[in-house]
Amino acid sequence: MVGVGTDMLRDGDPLIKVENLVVEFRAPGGGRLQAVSDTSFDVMEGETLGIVGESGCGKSTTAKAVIQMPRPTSGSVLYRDNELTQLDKESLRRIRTDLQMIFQDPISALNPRRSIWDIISEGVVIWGTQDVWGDAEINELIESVGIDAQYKNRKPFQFSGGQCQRISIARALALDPRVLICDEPVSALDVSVQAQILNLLDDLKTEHDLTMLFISHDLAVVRNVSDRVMVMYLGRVAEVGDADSLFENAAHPYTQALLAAVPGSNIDADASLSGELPSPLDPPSGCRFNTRCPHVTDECISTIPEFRQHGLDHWVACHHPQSAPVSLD
Amino acid sequence: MANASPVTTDPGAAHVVEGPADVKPPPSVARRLGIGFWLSIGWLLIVIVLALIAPLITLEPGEARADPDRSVFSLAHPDDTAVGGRLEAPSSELWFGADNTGRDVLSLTIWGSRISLLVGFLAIVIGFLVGGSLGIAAGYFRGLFDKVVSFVFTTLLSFPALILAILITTLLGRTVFWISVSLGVLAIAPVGRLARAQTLVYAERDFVTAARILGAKDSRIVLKELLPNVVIPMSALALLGMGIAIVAEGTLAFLGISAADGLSWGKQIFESGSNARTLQDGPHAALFPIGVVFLTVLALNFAGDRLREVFDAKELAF
Amino acid sequence: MSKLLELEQLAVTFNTPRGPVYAVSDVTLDVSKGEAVGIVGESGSGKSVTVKSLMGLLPRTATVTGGARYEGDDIFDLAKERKKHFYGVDIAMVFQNPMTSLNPVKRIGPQLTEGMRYHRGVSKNAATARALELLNLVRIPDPAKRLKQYPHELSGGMRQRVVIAMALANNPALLIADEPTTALDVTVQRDILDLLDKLRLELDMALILITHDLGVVKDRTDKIAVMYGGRLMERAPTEAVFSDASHPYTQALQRSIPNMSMPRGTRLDPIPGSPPDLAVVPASCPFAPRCTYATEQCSNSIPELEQTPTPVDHSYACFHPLGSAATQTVGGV
Repeated sequence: MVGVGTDMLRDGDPLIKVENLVVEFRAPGGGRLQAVSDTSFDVMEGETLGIVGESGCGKSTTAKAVIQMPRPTSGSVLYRDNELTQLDKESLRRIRTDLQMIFQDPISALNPRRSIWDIISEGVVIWGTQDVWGDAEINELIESVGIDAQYKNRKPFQFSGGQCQRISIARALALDPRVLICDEPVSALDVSVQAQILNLLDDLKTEHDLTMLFISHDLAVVRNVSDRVMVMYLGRVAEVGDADSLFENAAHPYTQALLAAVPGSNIDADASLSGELPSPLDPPSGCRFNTRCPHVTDECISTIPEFRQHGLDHWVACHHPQSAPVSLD
Repeated sequence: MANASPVTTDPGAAHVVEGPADVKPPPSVARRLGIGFWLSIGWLLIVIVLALIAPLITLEPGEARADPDRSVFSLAHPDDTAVGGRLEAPSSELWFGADNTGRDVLSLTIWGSRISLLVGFLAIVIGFLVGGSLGIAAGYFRGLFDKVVSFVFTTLLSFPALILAILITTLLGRTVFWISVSLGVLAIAPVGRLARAQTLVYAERDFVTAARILGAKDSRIVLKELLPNVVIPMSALALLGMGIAIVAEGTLAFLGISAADGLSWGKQIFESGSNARTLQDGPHAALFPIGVVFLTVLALNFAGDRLREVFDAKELAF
Repeated sequence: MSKLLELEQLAVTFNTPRGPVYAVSDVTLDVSKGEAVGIVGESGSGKSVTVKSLMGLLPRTATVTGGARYEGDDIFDLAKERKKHFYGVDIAMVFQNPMTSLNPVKRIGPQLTEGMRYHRGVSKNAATARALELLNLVRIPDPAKRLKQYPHELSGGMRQRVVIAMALANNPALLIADEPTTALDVTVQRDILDLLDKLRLELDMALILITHDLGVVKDRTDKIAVMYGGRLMERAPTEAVFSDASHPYTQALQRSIPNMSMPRGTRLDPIPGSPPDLAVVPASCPFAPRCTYATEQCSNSIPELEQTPTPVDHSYACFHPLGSAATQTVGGV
């Protein structure tokens, strides 16, 4: 299979380096579904990579594949110097403590039968780190995410959605992770609460020196939190790079369509899409966006576009980028 | 891991330190279960306590006859015939009357409860330990194990229950133990399927994924994350199941397959109720045990149902 | 413009095992012929319950008080015959999840035609012809093929178009769309909203658009009602809501939402606290616990709906309004 290339991977020593990631599932009713096809990206320490795209683009699957849940079908996931895809079950279990996750549905992410104290200190109990995380420290952790510690024995159903998300964050932080993977962390929350959680994540990132993978379908949220952004469509990366560069000089027609679709945006309707999302079971040949792209040509149907540089840190996989590349001096 | 520097407690303007959403805590679980539930539990406790203390308050054989002024809190020995006249009607001395051999029906009923409750309890314990573990394991580990277990469940369910019970007891012995075992075997499939279904539901919730990412081993996940959730609907089923087992035991007794080593309710009802003459002359001998069985099974069913309703509703509201 | 729908002090209380829940209190709103009204609020604001009460979709545990009139007739007291042919004919509704609005075991064609045939006695052929017309109206490609398909064969966006087509089948004067795009992808959302816009203009139909997203109603409505904690916070022409919001909640809401023009890493301005508990008898402004301008008065009494000094109908329920309304002397209660 012709690949899209890995030119967009940077030199230096990324904390996470994913190369040629492929995640396949057995589709109900037979056949194989490739949720993620040949995706590569890297994340430097201290960075926030925003992964954005619509339903079926594979962003969530990609994030989960980084922590090997489940193990990808092929490809490499390098964390520090560890090839995660090759680790045995026990080593993986150990190293996963560095890579924690928070989920989209704050309520389903907490065990309804356990107190929030139990939930938050679960990691400490599993790994026996009570010498570092004693009662006082866990209390402080609970307060640091904005929950009054006197309620530590209450069960999750007594808290609101936003509060539950805070509890999830505390649970993740009790392991002193290096990386926090946020899978649509504010999508299920009320609008007036979203900003609270985003600010909280921002503060905690600084205080705990975290590197973040932030998955969302909401462009404005991704814009707010990300240093770099990766746009996915139907299992492939369409465009990736520095957030400012990508949003201000979007090259891929799909990125432009996403930007145009943000309510209240003033990008013209020319970028709006026709047709429907193709079935991931039978994706289009060549560039997967060709069935809906207003600028499609024969080349788009026959050849998978490789990544080409569009700016200092800006890469696009498209035969006909829709904006002018920035000169690279 | 990096050094743990617990964050200072200075949340800043955006981190409002807040508590749970409710102003007042929700009505306690005890209240929500309702008066019917607690009445049922009360009845069950009475039956169980009486069953347990029966040996302490029963007189020696022959004592009852010998001592007509015995204390109210003493029971005639159940085997003691001619405590009362044949099918003597209930009176202030013999609250439940006597059966056709003059035995004290009250004493028989209480002693019968020991067997029936034991059978019901053992059957459920066997069903739950075996069916429950298999079901939870199948629901959690999936794969080939799940397929095999599900097939076993389906087979067990397809087996005609009565035939199985008759087979086991005929081949292995008509004792309380083997009757319990046969009922227990029959309980494995329904309990197992419920356990499996509930496990499937909970195993795909994010909190299980989170536990795995935290580094919990499978055994810990099953024990700390899944079991506390699955045990509630299973307990509700346990109560219902006991009721079913007690009735089943009664049915077996009516078919003549009751324990040879003990007098259960079923056997008692069979002895006093299967003969038209006996029934005509002294219906009380059968009706009292029937009434007690009915109330006990009703209490079990009701309590089980309420338990399930309350905890299901809590789930949904959550 | 003539008034199509008039709500006056509408209130809905649910009788739950845990006590009464005051889901909606004192909502006064009207919709004129051909007008687009947006109702904006978060979960628990009462926006959905309000319109469901109009459509008779609330469970029996709900007690509805107040007035709701359609072209002068009391909706809650319609004559039996009129009632049979009111919902789905005069007022139609589109819901958030198109999959639950469609019968999964019935083809699209019959689902489109059944309403017409029941309400207006249209013949099967005429109804089918009309169904094709409707599918064209909602811009569904290949309509003849769709009539024979089942809901699961269509994508989310297309299903929602079908649902809209069903709602339009009997030419309603008012279409209520309850979060019609929330469950859809963002690129599809815009299409559906544009479609609703076009339809409204083509058919001279009034539209009530319910959403939690202010951006959705920004250029698509004539006026907006902002709800919180079951009450109206502000009710104003759309322009005014964005340029001159009177209510602190409206302002705080706009300020707390990230938008694309904010540079990376902008510190957001969130609203502290959580949405209110609706089980408490309303005795104060529901937003008071989270409002930066709140005073004791706000926690002790409920602000009534006041008018701003400007001639257009701009009302707010606040003791300490902002913007141009702040210059007005507010009679404290």
